Amino acid sequence: MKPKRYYIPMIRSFFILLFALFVGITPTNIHAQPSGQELYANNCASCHKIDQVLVGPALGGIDKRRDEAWLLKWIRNSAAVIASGDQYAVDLFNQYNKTAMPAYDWSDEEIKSVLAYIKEEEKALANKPKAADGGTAAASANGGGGATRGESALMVLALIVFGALLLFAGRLLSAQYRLRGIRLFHWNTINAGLFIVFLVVGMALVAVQFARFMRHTLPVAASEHGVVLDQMLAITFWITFVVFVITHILLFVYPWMYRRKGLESKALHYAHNDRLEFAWTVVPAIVLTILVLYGTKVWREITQSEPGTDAHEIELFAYQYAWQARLPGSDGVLGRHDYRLIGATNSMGIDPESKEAQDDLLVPEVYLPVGEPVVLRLRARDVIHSAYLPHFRVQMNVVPGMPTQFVFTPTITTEEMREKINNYNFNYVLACNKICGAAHFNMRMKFVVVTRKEYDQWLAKQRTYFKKPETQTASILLP
Amino acid sequence: MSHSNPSASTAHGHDHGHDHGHHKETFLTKYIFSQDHKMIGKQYLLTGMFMAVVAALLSLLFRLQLGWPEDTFPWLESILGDWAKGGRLDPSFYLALVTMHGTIMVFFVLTAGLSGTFSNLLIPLQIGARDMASPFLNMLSYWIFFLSTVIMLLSLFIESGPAAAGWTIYPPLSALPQAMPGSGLGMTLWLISMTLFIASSLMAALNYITTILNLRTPGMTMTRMPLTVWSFFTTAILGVLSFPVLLSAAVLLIFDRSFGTSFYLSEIFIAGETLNRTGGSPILFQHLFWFLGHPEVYIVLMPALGITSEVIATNARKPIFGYRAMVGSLLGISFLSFIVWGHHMFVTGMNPFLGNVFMILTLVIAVPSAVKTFNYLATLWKGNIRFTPGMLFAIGLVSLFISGGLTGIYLGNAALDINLHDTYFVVAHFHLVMGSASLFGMLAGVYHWYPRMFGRMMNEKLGYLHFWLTFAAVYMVFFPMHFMGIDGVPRRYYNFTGFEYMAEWMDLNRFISISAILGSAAQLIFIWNFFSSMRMGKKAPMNPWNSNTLEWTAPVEHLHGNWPGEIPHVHRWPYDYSRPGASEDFIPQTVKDDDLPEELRKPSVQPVPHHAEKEAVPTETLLFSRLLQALGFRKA
Repeated sequence: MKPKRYYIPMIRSFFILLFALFVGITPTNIHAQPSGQELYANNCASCHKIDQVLVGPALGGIDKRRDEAWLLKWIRNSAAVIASGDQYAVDLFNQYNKTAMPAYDWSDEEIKSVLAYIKEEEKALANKPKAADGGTAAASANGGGGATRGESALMVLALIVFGALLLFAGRLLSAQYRLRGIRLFHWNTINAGLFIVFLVVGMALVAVQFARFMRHTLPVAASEHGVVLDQMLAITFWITFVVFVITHILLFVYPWMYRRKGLESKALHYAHNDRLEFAWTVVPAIVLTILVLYGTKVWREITQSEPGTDAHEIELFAYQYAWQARLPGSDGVLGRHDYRLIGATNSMGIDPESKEAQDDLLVPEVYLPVGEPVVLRLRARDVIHSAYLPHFRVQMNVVPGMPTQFVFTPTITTEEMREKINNYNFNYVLACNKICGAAHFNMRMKFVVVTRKEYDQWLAKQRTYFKKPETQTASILLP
Repeated sequence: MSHSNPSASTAHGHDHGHDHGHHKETFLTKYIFSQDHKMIGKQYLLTGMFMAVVAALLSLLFRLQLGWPEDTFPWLESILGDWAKGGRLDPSFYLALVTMHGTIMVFFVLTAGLSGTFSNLLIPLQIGARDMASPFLNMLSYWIFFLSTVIMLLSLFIESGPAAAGWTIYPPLSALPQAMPGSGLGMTLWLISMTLFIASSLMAALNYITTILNLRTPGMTMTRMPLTVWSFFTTAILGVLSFPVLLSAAVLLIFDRSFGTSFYLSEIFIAGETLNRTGGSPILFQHLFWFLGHPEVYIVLMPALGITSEVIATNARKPIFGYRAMVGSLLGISFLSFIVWGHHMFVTGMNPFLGNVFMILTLVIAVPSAVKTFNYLATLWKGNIRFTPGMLFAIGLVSLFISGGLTGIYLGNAALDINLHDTYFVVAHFHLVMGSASLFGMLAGVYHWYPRMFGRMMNEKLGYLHFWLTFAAVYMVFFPMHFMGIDGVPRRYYNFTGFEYMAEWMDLNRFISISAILGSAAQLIFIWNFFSSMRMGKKAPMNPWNSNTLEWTAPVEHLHGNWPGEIPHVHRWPYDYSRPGASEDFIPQTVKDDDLPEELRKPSVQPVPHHAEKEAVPTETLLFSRLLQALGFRKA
């Protein structure tokens, strides 16, 4: 029994690794037909979990609750199913806070692949407790969870010991005091000394944190303005860090140097010094002026740059709890929209009468050609969201009733970034960064930066926002 | 604690409008509906401490979720029911926890608990008044605050849960019950509670201002006021000018929620329905909110800085360095705090030109803050430092003020804010500079004035232990968050498993959670010390810290009216510590020059013109001219 338990996870992780390597290294994977897993991750996961209610119901066992024909209808247009008076659908709608599920214009195969994926996940989840028994080997293999436990236990222990020592020291003091009538420890000295200890240990820990954590922070900025921002961050860091260190050394060393040492020790009566005060008013003022001038210049360049005519326009549309992206299509113009047109089959409220809207594309993930300016047009449907693309150093709130925008130029393709950071699963990602409700933490969309050629290939395969005769589905082939 | 009659209606000072001499005080009038500022101060303190415990427990619940997102805690379900089905917090309830933690800490603990406690306790005592200008209004202010506390706590027990849109309650999320469960009844209760809170804080602030301007004892000119009183004064002015704006924001939100108006709503489709609301702007709310919200930061922080000034000077046995600059920077911060609110809104889509303006003003406010820091350091320099627990917390505050203040330079820069906005960098920044620093100020104040409040001393050794554990824990919890922020990890996320780059911080999140639990546990030491010392503490002498200020000239026994005989007169500024040639290292404010050796008669610093002593209550013109002098614009 036992050996079996050990090698099953090992074999599994070998295959996963192999799969990951294959998927990761092959550049073609980003053009492949979206698998059930991908479709699920990009579309369903923001509102559903397999084993837990999120915004919508848990999807585990969905195949037992409803038949496939019903599910096909429901996923393609839930509003229509509700409108038809289907009791199950109506109950579901009411039970989940009357939140309409968006319509997904997917083929039978695609929906089936999603359902298959759900079933697979369900099985994996059911097997999980058993796999977890397989010992710490598997656990430590996927990310060092074991080490943390040890570390935290050590931390707790250290603190308890520290507290106990302090208490013990206190006891000892009072005992000694009573016995001999003299003080072994002088609390004033101890506290003063602890400031020095705090300074030394604290600064050491700061150094350790920089050594340990900085490499986990965002990689090099993947946009033109991002590089400038990173530079400014570094300059601001060095200025503030020097001030931080110097002031803290003074703040913690003075208590030691000028602690009360006995009855004779005296303070210097020294109430003010106009020159000194003038100096430490003016010096920070000058430093801050420099930072402000630098900051305003960069800020102006970023926010007040008007997008050129060559800029790629992308509309990002946020709602509880997902993003949608629309491209202007071959005419280069985004069609009219009106929030009153929003419905289950027209989730973005695009005007079907608008001529410019006919060729608009609804894309499941956003591709950007490297080195070409992009203008994000931001629109929200319900509450305030925030479009946050940390790798590009891009953020702008998405406000209902008030369109906003952000212009930037991506400079590093996804492939190059993967090479740079040596992580072949890396993807740029869009997150929501303004509290927007229960599944706020789950709103994401994949961004991919590619060469112009790859971009054009991708663009050719995208579907229009408004349904067209089924011609394009067939054109998706594995390269 | 016998209650002897104050010799009421003295020849000078104020007319003691509420004469207690004629009837015996009952339990109800002495402890519950008391009009004695000292008792009201204690009421604020106890309420504030209770709320702090509640808010800390809420934070532990969500730290549990952030530290162990994959684990289940079945005991949670037995406490929280459906909010923690299967022992795992519900995502909506997580947001409710975050929201209530912020709301309670900012308003109920650090505004009412800090400023309410110490303004009430210290203003009359330190300026030599028998009570507030209106003791009745003062009582009313506490009880309205109490009512708002009760309503806020009640909202924790309703089925749909308390407000959950963040403590900043941005609409439309907070305006539409369809948007999240917390925006239903919970939000309504939040708004009612805050409306009462604002009314209460206005009453209190008007009282503080009136008292400080009118009831100073003879000789207590504005420039002889301790910095604590100055800080309470500027805080009260900020409150009076900014809280009404929050009230207007709240009222418009109530209209939007309950009466179908559209001040903040426009073009919304939610829960399968197009709303018939157009023309409003969600950004309007943010402007109104932050017009209070930013001064609020200083409403929270300034009393803590005032307390620190007093505690550091007393325990370093030195005059506070640069009294005039300290007053000037308080006034400068107060003024500037009204015109920097937009730095919370750089990425809202507000006109980028405004971003420039607010960035410049915001970085200007760093100058008076820097001056304060340097003055604290200079006060410690060549001092004769005595480490009471109060002093430890005061030094701790300066450290946190530096660490948190410096990151403000990043966030006040609109360009850097693009990538740091709403990340853990912000969480680290304000928890250090506003949350922890103010809390340290409050604790310093409690340790320092405990003998004044309860007539007994707190246990010092427990105080030391409490300080060192808390100081370490604060840095362990908040310092590492900067790194998460630089990595672009957003705040208010239920878990980070959905994003690869955020999931990397799992270990650190767990470390932070453990530190938070330990840090909270350390507060039990304080709570034990606080309550046990009431009965078991050493009896306090009248002036345990050899301090100069007037509150230590009043008898340990509390009496309504503060001083049994005449109110003390003031002859000097409050920082005559370690004057060379003096027999002691302090000269209380009540000591006349005639009683001193010849060489000490001239004040060491001359912040006040001599003739000012004769004025009992200065006229506005005099007050203004003294303000100018204090700021160094006019020669004395």
